[in-house]
Amino acid sequence: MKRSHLTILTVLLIVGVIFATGVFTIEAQNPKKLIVSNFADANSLDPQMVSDTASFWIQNQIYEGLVRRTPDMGVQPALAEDWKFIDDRTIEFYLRQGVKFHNGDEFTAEDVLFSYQRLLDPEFGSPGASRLAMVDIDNVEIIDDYTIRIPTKEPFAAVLTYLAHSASLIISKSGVEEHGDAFGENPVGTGPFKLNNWRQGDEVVLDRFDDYWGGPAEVDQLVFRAIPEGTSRTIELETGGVHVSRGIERVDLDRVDNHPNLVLHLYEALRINYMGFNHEAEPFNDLRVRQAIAYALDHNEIVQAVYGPLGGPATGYINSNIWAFNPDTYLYHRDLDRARELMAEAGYADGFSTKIAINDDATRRSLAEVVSYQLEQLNIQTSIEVYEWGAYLDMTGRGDHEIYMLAWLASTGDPHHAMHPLFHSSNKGSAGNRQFFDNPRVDELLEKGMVETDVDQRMAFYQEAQQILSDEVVWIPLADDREAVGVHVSVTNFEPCPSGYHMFHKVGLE
Amino acid sequence: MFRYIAKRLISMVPVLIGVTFVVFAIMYFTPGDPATLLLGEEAPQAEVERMRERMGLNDPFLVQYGNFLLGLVQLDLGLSLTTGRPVFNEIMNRLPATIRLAGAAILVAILIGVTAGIIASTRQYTIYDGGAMFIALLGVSMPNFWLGLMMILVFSVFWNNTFGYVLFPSSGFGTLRHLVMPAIVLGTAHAAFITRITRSSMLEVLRQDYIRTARSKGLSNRIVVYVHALRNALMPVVTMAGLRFGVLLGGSVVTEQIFAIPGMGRLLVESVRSQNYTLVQGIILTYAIIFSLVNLAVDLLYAAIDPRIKVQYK
Repeated sequence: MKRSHLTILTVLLIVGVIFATGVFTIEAQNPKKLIVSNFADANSLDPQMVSDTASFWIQNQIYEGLVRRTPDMGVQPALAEDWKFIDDRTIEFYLRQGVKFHNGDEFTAEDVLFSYQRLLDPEFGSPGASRLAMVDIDNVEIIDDYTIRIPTKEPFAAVLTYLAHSASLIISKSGVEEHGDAFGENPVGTGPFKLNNWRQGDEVVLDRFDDYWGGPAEVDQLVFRAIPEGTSRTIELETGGVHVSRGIERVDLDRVDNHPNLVLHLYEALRINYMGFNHEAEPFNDLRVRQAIAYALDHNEIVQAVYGPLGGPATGYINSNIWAFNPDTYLYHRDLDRARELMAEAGYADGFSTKIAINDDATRRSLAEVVSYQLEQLNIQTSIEVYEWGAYLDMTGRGDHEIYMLAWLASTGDPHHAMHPLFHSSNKGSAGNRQFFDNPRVDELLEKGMVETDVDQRMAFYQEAQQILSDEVVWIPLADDREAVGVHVSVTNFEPCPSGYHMFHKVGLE
Repeated sequence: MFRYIAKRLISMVPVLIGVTFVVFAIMYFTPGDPATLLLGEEAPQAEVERMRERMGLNDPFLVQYGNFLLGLVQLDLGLSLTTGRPVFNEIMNRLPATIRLAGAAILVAILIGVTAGIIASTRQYTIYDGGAMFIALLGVSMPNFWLGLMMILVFSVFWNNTFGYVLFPSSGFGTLRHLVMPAIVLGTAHAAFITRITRSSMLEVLRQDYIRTARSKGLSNRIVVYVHALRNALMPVVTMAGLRFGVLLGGSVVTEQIFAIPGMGRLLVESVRSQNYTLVQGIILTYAIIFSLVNLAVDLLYAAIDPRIKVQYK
């Protein structure tokens, strides 16, 4: 009897402790600690070591570039107060004075040169090096501590948008010298938040940097928690475990939207999803077949079924939020009679069978299924082949594919970034032109667009190129991505950014 | 005893070398290019080629494997391809969470399993027996993700809506409260195995002559069951619990994913996805070592339980 009393007492005690700590933590919560959920942990906090969005999002709170993107995808001053084009391939930047790094050192032109040199050093082998490959690093000139001239190898119109990319964030020279290989765990930047503690795989805790040149941030602490599972992110948001959650999944949209304490932000991302053909494989080398397929698909049905509110029908060859988008090009609508005619003309009146290759991704799987069903109307029998991501990139890069599904994110928001890798014949294969498309006029237009500095002229080049791509049905545009962020009502001033790197300097907590 | 342990440790070496070879070969012949994955979809071919050269991916298979072994004897597992941090540090960062979770889960499993097993065996063919076996079946058939989500629904969402705070947080790691739900989810799945083995082992022991002797001596039922029977029935239970613990130490991908626990299972899946082959090798090697050590520990536990075995360990 006594023993069982003891057991009951112990159980009660344990339960009591658990309850007590539960109540205690709620009351002891720091009122100015903003908790954000991220899909994954940062791979590194060194912007030159990574190429993934989870890392870049955190790094954008710690570091700044010379310039940065605005939420409407313009370019605004950051560490550079102003700049001037000296000639068509050199910009002179006037740096902000009195800016402090997190280690107390002052920011000067030396740090800019050092950052770009390290990024472009082939020995260092940064995955982001290609972002600034146009910079003529050997001829960068430091005029004084706060003036630096940055030349490009050739005239390059979009250079500012590339300098605003996360790979071009400015790191502290003295910080790298101090920490060496461990810089990725000891980041030193100029941004509004500095690293306090990093529990790898779990959370990154950032503290407000009081000496930030733009004034201290609204909150004392900013915590990024790695929560890989979409449902878990939403539940944490609902139960108050996090204040901001990126990547709300489709099944959870209504739940967040209808919740009295949560606000759902849907914003246009810069990614376009498409269905590509291998132009070097039969029968997709025949324009009529590609056109027939374009006429066979019902866009609205595909987007509705697969994306719901998280996508809009894509009607062109770049994401419609990129400024050079030409809305009048892709005019194919479902017209099965026209499609059958074209198939007959091409000699495939009885259809054919082909393979749709996708990587292991739930959205692509449903995409492939819907497309496969719609193509059956033309007697095109498809089998869906699922590859692991690495093998998928490998296989489509080699040209072993027929139909494939992929997306392109032009994170700089520039049409050069959105088109050149995908459609220029020099980028055939794994560099991005996985449809092995080859058109001299498109090549020419893309080259002109790269060097032209006049915005209207560039617009004309890129729009003409899009027209050709559409006439050639290079691929079938499927959907422009939308992303969903859930935010608790106590969060003030939150503004989503199309790049996905929402900034927290001005964001407060009530 | 120490000689026995030393012998066992030495015999681990060829096993570990065999494991590294198999893993290395699998990663080597897996389609996909680590350099491409590292540089992203849009990297120019020349840059990918340069990266391959830097990473030593262009060397022949045996040269690469040789370099890996050479590093290994210097206790250098190389750098993780995605983070640039030493593989050893990566694993050491994740191991504590996994060990804590595995420890808590095996505790839950043993507590439930042995208790249910004893109840079932001492009341064979009664409603208690049926009930315990039914629960065991339920535990093993319930998918982790389902039980996990249900618990989150009740103890996080429902609790929060009703009482205004969360009883157990739905994700994260660090405090005891974070550990409760994942430990129960993982523990119940493994408890089923332990229940079954405890029951059958106890049933066998309870039929032995010396149990009858003990009872006829007039010992109370409790002493007969817990002192005389249980100790002798424990051997297979310890084996099973040890093996289960080894499995748990491998990390549980599903549970870690749902509860956002920074453990080994998630690390392994992430590293396989990104073809982070140095990290994959490091993790598998760690598993092999852990598994061998757990096996050794189980063998040593036999000795503690059964003095007759202790004599044989020389």
